[in-house]
Amino acid sequence: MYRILPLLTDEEIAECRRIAAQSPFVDGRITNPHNKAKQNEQLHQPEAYQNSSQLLMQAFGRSQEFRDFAFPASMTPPFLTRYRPGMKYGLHTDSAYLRMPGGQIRSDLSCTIFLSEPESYEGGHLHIRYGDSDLRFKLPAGEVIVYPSDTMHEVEPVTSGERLVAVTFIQSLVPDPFRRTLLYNLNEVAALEGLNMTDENFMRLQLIQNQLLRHWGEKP
Amino acid sequence: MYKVIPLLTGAEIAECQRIAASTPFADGRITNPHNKAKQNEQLHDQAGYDRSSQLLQAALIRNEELLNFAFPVKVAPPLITRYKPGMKYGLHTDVAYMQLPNGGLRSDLSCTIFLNEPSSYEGGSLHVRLNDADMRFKLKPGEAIVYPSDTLHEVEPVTSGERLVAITFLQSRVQDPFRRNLLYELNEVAALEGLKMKPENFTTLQLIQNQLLRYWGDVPRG
Repeated sequence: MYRILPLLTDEEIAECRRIAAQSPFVDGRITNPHNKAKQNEQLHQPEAYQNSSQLLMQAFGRSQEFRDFAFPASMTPPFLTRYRPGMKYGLHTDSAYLRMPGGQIRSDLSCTIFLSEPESYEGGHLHIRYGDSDLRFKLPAGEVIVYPSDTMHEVEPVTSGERLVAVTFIQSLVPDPFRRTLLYNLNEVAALEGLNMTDENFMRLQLIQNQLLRHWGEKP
Repeated sequence: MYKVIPLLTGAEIAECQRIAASTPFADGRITNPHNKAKQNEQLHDQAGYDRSSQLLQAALIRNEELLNFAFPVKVAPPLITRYKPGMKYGLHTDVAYMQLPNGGLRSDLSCTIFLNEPSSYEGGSLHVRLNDADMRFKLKPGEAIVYPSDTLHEVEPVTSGERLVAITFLQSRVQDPFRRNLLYELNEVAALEGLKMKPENFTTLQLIQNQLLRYWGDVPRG
């Protein structure tokens, strides 16, 4: 399932843009040397990386909607990426396992945090192939799209302006998308309707929610 | 999970009792020759068996509570069984697969249908062991206890009077007890609370119910 969430305050957006404007970027191939599809630039300065990734991690950490949807066990520090005219990230899939400072992470969910206003650049949609169908996302600054990592997707060429985003990958306590989505939906219904139920029935529903999470959830 | 279900009408109870009173019984060992624990008698007459098993099977599959609880795909023809003073069915487990007239059945759930007044006999409780805990059932006529087939259980000795029951076994669409119980509970909550919900939320809940049943349910055969 695909979920768009509002994540950042205006101050946080401004801070990310300020960091991006003041810091050096390098060719994105530095972390994917064998990937010809990747034609973008990524932040390449330890302090700026630390400041921006911490700010973004904190924003994820306070988002109840994100936790409800993703059941995150761990996630990679988000890093800032930009696309200038002519840049793109051709059709690709994300790696199943990624190295990160504290060890490895399995990428169950991928996430793009949009940092530029959509009208400030042309092109640059996140395009996700869905069988013979297509999904395209170009979101307002501060919003994120969380989507399954096992899709083919691309960033379409930017033809003018600059597309600034941050990307991150999430390992979920519930890796199976069917199960994760079902649990999310069940928890949402329980949250929305629980207080209208009799105490007994709400308790029964809560037992079911926890049984399924225990049954399907991985060891943290 | 254990479920007590009211199953039979007064007329059906009387009919079962009439069949039992007018039909020959045989030693229960005829269908379990190697089981020394089994010391009871079972109905042994084709016409009486056909009539009683059809009546009881029809009662089981019209029962909404049973359908909701057991998700049955096959029900063995119930067999009338009686225990006279001194008889019992010692601690045993039910076999996993049994042969039926129309093919095999995996016994996921066992069921005892009580057919006479509990006050008319002493002893004869169905005793189910749950490791170091115990459950005992001695129900009113017409009531059935449905319980997982993978327990150790016994019929305690009858010391006076006569215990008349029918027993049957059910194959469930959802074999795993955890999953079956969870689905049952979810369906119950949805049935009890659904009409109070916003239509959109109820639709989501129904989607979940059907997703889980597709995900966990056995493939239908034939």
